[in-house]
Formats: sequence, structure tokens, C-alpha cells
Amino acid sequence: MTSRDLFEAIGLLDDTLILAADAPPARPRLRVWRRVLPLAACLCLIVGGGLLAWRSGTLMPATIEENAAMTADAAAPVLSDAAPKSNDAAAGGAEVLENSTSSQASAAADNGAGIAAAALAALPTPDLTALEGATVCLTLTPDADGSYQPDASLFVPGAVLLLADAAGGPLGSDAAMTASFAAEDGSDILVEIGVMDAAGALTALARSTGDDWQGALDPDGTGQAVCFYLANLGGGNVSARATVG
Amino acid sequence: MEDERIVALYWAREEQALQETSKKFGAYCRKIAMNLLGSLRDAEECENDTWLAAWNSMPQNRPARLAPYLGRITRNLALDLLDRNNAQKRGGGQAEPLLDELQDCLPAPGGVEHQADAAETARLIGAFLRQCPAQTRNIFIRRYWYGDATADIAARYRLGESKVRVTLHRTRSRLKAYLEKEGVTV
Repeated sequence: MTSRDLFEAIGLLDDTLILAADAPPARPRLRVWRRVLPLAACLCLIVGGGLLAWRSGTLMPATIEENAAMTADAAAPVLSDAAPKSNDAAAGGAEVLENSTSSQASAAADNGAGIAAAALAALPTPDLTALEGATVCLTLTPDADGSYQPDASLFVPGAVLLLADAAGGPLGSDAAMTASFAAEDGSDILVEIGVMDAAGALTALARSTGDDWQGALDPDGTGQAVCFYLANLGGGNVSARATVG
Repeated sequence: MEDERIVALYWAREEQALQETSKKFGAYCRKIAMNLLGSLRDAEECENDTWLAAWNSMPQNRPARLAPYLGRITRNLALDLLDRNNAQKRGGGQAEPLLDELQDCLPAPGGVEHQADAAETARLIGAFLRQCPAQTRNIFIRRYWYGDATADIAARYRLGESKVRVTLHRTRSRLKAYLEKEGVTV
């Protein structure tokens, strides 16, 4: 036997062996750690990034005051497209007007609300969408001496109470106003008070969670209406009584 | 086209069989011839001779798998061509070093039982290879059946060339011992 004979004998090997040797070689399977390593690296990056963000304060929990301020900002009333609607609960000489005005303004929040705002923030956010269109307009008719005497007592289904001068003029800075509010279910009430000018822009006067308010009706002498945004945080109705002059 | 249909064409003496064979197995056979002969011109000549040999052999044979069948023809034709080239001092493929290596496998001479014929030797080699790990077996066949260079084998299996050489050396040594144990003599 020669090497040539051996070579020829090898040529007679089984087809299965020949074909198996010609098949594409199987890829070696990755060891477990080589499969896990990329995942572990990704996890480390995520955890590391999270810790870094935590330390830099991005993910730090906000303080009560910060939460309150943020909530106060978010809860600033937007009297947008408030479609006025009639409410015949007006009394004491007040005249109810329909569609007398609409507002595009938003009241600036009083960030100094402090602890009251923090407590307010803890309350559930009212569903303001349910209050849309609940704008009530009262026209104030001044007496001969120029003072307003509407003494209006209204039952408002939430949202906005709008008081306006019947003559369409400025309300007058000397007019003082007292308003009291009550929630029929005893819930807290969020009150935003603002003055609307002739262009419809609203200037915030005050923000309160109390059930009454006193102040000048139109401190700048340019206001056309005073607006009360009332929200019963319990979701029920609010009654409001306003006395001017 | 499936092997079975190509074989049927051969049996029907349809010349399309040659076209289909060339299309499907041309590169395969050319590579084997190229490995052994080291010359593209010789490899192409060997390839064409393979189709002719297949055409002539097919009415007697009905191979189930055409690739090994045609590969064997190519190997044999390549060896014949190598002999002719050696007579004319031509050539430079893997065949010469490959045959030198196979001398390692030759059993020791001596008056032992029987001289095995090629088929018996092939059966014994096949039995030996089946005992080897798959990669060792495939490396051996790639080298001594397909005539691949060790560098090509190393690239195919993502191994170092030295690793391939060592594997081949050990396999040859074990094959020699196996053939001697089985009573095969020179």
C-alpha cells in the first residue's frame, strides 16, 4: 500500500462523511457569560445613569412647597372660551346677561399661597372640564352716588362667576366688594378672583381657599368685570354671594 | 435542480444534464481539482473531464448524491492529470504534500494477515473517523478528500493553522495505529 492507495481509499469514504465535511461549520455557541455580558453592561449604564440623575436632583422628590407651587401653577384658572349662560338666581337688582363676554385670559397664580396651597395640592384635582360653560354674568348697576349695590346671591354650578358694569364702563377703583362662598357638600372651595379689562385680559387679584373674600373691585380703575373662578374640590356645587359697594 | 432529476436526465441521455451539472457542481468540482493541481487551467480541464466521465458512467450508476460522486471522479481525474504533469514536470498543488503526509498513515510492512483492498481500507478509515470528534473528522476529510490547504481549513473552522496541523498530525498517527490494529499491512 502506498500513500496514493490510501488517498484513493479515502476517496471511497461514505457520502455522509463527505457531505458532512462540506456543510457550513456550526458556529460555536457563545458561553453564557458572553451572552449575559452586554445585558449586564446595559443594566449598569441604566442604574448608573439613574443614580447620577438622583444625585444631581433631577429625580429627587419635590418638597411640599415645591409641589404646592407646581400645583398652584397648574391649577391657575383659565377662563378660556367660557360661554356665558343664563342663571336666573340673581337677586337684589342684579341683572343676568347671557353671552355678555368671553375670556381668553388666565389668572396668574399666587405662588405665595404657602401652606394653604400645599394643603390644597393634597386635595384631588377637580375635574374642570365638567365646569365648562358655567359662567354667570351679573351686571352691576351703580346707585346715583356711583356705588354698586347688587348684593347678588347666586347658586353657581361651579366654575366662573362674572360681575360686570351694566353700562360697560370701568367698575371703578373705589368699589369694595365682599363675596362669600359655600360648598353645598362642605368641601373645600378653590377661589380665583380676577379683573377683566376691556380687551378681555384678566388680571389676577387673589387666590383663596377660604369661603369669603373682600377687596377692591377694580383697583386699577380699568376693569370691566370681576371674575370669580369657583371650584368645589369635592365635585359638588358652590353657592356664592357677592356684595359690592 | 434536484440531484435526482439531474441523474434522470443523464439516464435519459439528455444533454441538459451536463448543463445542469455544470451549473450546480461546477464550482465544487473545480475547487477540488484546483486544490490538488494548483492550476486553474488544469482544474478547468479536470472539471470538463469530470462531466464527460459522469456522462459515460451514468447509465451504469445511479448515484443518490451527486456531489460526492462527482467529487470522487474529479479527485481521480486530478490524480491522473497530476501523474501526467509530473511526467512533464508540471504542477504545484496540494497533491504532492498531501500524499507525503499520508505516508504517516501507512501501516508498518510485515507479514501480517491480509492486504486490504481500497474498499476495505475505506471502510476501516470511515469507521475510524466516526470515532473521532466531528471537527477532527471534518478537518481530516477537508484535507485528504477535498484537498484543502491547511490555511483554508483553519479559516473555515476559525482555528489557528498550527492547530489544524497538529490535529491532522495526531489523526494520522491514530489512523496508522488503528489500521495496524485492524491488521492492514502495506
